[in-house]
This record gives sequence, structure tokens and C-alpha cells, in this order.
Amino acid sequence: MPRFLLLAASLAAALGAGAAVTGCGGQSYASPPTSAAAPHRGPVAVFASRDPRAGKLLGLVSVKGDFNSDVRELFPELVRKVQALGGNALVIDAMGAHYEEGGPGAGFSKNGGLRACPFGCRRSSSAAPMETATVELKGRALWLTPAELESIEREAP
Amino acid sequence: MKRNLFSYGLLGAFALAAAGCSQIESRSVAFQRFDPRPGAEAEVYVGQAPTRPYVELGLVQAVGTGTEATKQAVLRSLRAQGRQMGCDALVNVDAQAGSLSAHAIGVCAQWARADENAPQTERLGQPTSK
Repeated sequence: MPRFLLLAASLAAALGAGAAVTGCGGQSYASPPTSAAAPHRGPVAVFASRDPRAGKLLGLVSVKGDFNSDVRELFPELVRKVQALGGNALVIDAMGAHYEEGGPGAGFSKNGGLRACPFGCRRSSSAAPMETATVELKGRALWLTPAELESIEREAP
Repeated sequence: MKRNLFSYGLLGAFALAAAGCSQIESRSVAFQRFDPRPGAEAEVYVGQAPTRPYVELGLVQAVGTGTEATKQAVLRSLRAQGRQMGCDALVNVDAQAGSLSAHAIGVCAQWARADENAPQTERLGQPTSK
């Protein structure tokens, strides 16, 4: 394998490990836009508990992280996804945590004296299943015309 | 005597460890700029929307671990955060608990007043944390 490929792979692995260690493991998704709209840089209207029933659907957006993911990071990320799709409105369809029991948990056992770890560590598997928790915000990116926005704001309580 | 002291010490250490592993944290993010007006306890709506008109102010979240990894604990924390933020209601609330952690999230809403017609425009205001 060429040396530069090895270097690139190592760098990618190091970055991935770094992100994992720092806890920046959030994932986000944006479905392919239904139209190639230019990214929107202006404000995004948010509908977190009701549907405006108007506008053009540009795509689905979602952000995901572990149980301790901060809404102050997840929400702006979701808004950025909407803007990237060219949307000026976000409808949040679902939000919450999901708990799942995974396979047997993996642990480490010592294989020697007190200071044997990590060199003397032996990987072992415990019978207790691992619990994984994810927090997710899902929604839709919309484009609302100024007239639609005005009408919604007028109708708003 | 020595044995008793050792037992109490061990018990104390366990209690301290258990207390140190339990925590609850609440956070919020605002959709628009508004003046927080701490008030009464927010009404919680799960799976249904309030019938009276309201304005969405932002999202509130609570995460609990250890002994605080219960739905009751995170909902209590969510309500406290909502009260601090000035929410009249917490809408679309989702609360889940696992064996190690619990999580709750909801929309902070204020009852609409006749003189208010606040646009629900996202301006990434000032996130607050407790």
C-alpha cells in the first residue's frame, strides 16, 4: 500500500478516535434535497409542536447523539441542516431518547499485579447486556414564501 | 472497635461514591429572544397539545444519571428549568429512562396574550443552562 494512503488512513483513524474520546460523537443526517436549492443564510422559522401545513418540502433532517448530547448543540446543528438544504423553516416531527439493550458488554480484567494494566490487561466479556441510549431530533426542511410566513404569523396566537 | 470504624468508613465511602455518580442536568435553547420571566410551575403535555393558544419559546432538556436516572427525576428537573425560563407549559414532552440514565425533552411554551403576536423566527438566541 502506498505510504501516503497509510498516512491518510492513520490520520482519519486518529481524528475519529479523537472525536470519540472528546465525546463529539454526534451524528447528523440530511436527506438528499428534492431540489438543488442554494443554501439559505437567513433566519429559520421553527415549528416544534405544530405543522404549518404550508411550504415546499426540501428534505428530511435529523441529528443524533448519545444520551448526554446537549440540546444546545443538537438544535443549532438541525437548523444548519435546514439552511444547507435551502430551507427557511424547520418542522420538528420527533425528539427524544431511545434506549436499546445491546450485546454482551465488554470489559477488561487484570492479568497480574496491581500495576499490570494496561499491558497485562485481557479483554473479557461480561454477561450483562450493554445499554445504549441515543437522543435524536428529526424534522423537515421547508421553504415558505414570504406570503405563507406572513399568513402563518398572522394566524399564530 | 477497629472493625466497626472500618465498616462505617466503608459505608461512608460507598455513600459518597453513589452520590458522586448521580447527577441531573438541565439545559435549554431559545428559538427567539425573550425575557425570561420565572413564574409558576409549567403544565406538562405529553402526547397532546394545549387547547389554548401558545407561542413556542424553545426547547428544554434534562438528563439524569445514577439515582436520578428516573422519569420522575428528569421531569422534575425539566419543570424546574421550564419555570426558570418562564414557560407556562411544556409541550410534546418525551421522557425515557434506561437503567443507567434518563432523558426528558420538551417544547417551552408561553400562553399567548391578546397584545402579543410574536413571530416564531429562529434567531439562535441565548442558550441557557442550569
